Amino acid sequence: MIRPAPHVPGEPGVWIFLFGDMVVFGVFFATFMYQRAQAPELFDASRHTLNIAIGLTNTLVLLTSSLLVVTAVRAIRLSQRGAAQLMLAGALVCGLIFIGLKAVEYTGKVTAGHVPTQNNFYLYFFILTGLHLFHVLIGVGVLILLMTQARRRNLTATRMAVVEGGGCFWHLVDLLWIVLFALLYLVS
Amino acid sequence: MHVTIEKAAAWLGVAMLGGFLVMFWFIAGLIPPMSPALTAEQTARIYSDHGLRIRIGLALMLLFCWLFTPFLALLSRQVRRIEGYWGVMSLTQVMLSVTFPFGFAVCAVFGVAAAYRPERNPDVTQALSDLFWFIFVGLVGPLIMQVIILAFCVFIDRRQVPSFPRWFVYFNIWYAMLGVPGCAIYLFKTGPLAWNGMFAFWIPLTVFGIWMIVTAIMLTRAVDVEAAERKARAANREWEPAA
Repeated sequence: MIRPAPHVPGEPGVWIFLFGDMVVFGVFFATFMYQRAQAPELFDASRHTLNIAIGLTNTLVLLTSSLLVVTAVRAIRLSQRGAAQLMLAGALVCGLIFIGLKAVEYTGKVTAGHVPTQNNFYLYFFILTGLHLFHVLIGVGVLILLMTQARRRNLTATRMAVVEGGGCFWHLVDLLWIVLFALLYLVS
Repeated sequence: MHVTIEKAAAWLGVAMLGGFLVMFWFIAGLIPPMSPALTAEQTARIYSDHGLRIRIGLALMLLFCWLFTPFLALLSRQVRRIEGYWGVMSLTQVMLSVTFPFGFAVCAVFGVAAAYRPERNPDVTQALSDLFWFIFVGLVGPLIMQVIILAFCVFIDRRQVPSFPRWFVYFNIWYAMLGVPGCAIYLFKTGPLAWNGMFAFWIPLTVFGIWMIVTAIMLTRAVDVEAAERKARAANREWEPAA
């Protein structure tokens, strides 16, 4: 039996970026955990003022978008251009919903007096979700790039690898949010 | 000779990275950074107690930071080679390269000024100190722009033998993204995004160091690629395009 050659999605180089980003977010998470250990009561009390409904909705929105991106990349590989574009548009809408809900959440927090200077929990809440939001914004750009690629009739191997790499970036955005959601909203 | 000079330029960048760390860290003692939450008196005290070493470290930086320029010249030349002519990307790279050493020089001038007159009003010293940190840590835009142009250039390089490997694209994007939080220091006096914070200072500084070293290695490889190309051209008696 001949085993198929192992396939790494995207160009191998894209993983330098993805792993590098994950390592740095790992440092961010560790910093947050360290700060939380300094003031566990404050962090737990502040956590309860967060809106879990918005956080959970955003998690589901991003999970849905990730699923759409997986299906879209598959469709691009099978040159089903119409389906791929539709899926990517759906993922893009999910990304925009996420950004919109974040804006609603931020506005609510600030009008309720929860600003970064209030305490360390809110300082980290705004910084970590802000850095993640920055990733989502870049991800939206990546999705638009993927849509332009989905329109092409035939993709070269390099272009296909770029498409897969872009998809992987969106999954990273999703993955980081899941960890962030657990860390900020759930862990007591 | 040509190849030797260009490789020397690449390594000079790494040497200057080491020089910068020695001057700022060990001589001036400005790394690790002082807290932005200090009062004017506390800040002024640091500049008067350590005035001499701060002035010596920063004076050396003012003299030597221009040694970054050959490294940046080589970087711009390699972008020019990918672009094929003096187009927008290579010219922007040249212009941003001009600003690079000034990022160190201008901040050093403010730091020296803060330490120059220990007898003066602490509020003035604090203001000068703020300017030092605002430029040193906060002025990340030119660097990020430079790195994004480099990444884009390598990304669209369609030549048979490209000067840089593909992964270098993503490495540069990684660096650009981690450099961005530096721009937030103007909004914080404590926490990870203050000028002495983990996200705004330590991670960008580490990544900057890694980037300088990796880019120097990649530039020496690009010089080899170019030299091989020249040799092949000479063997085929082709005219060399004006570089």
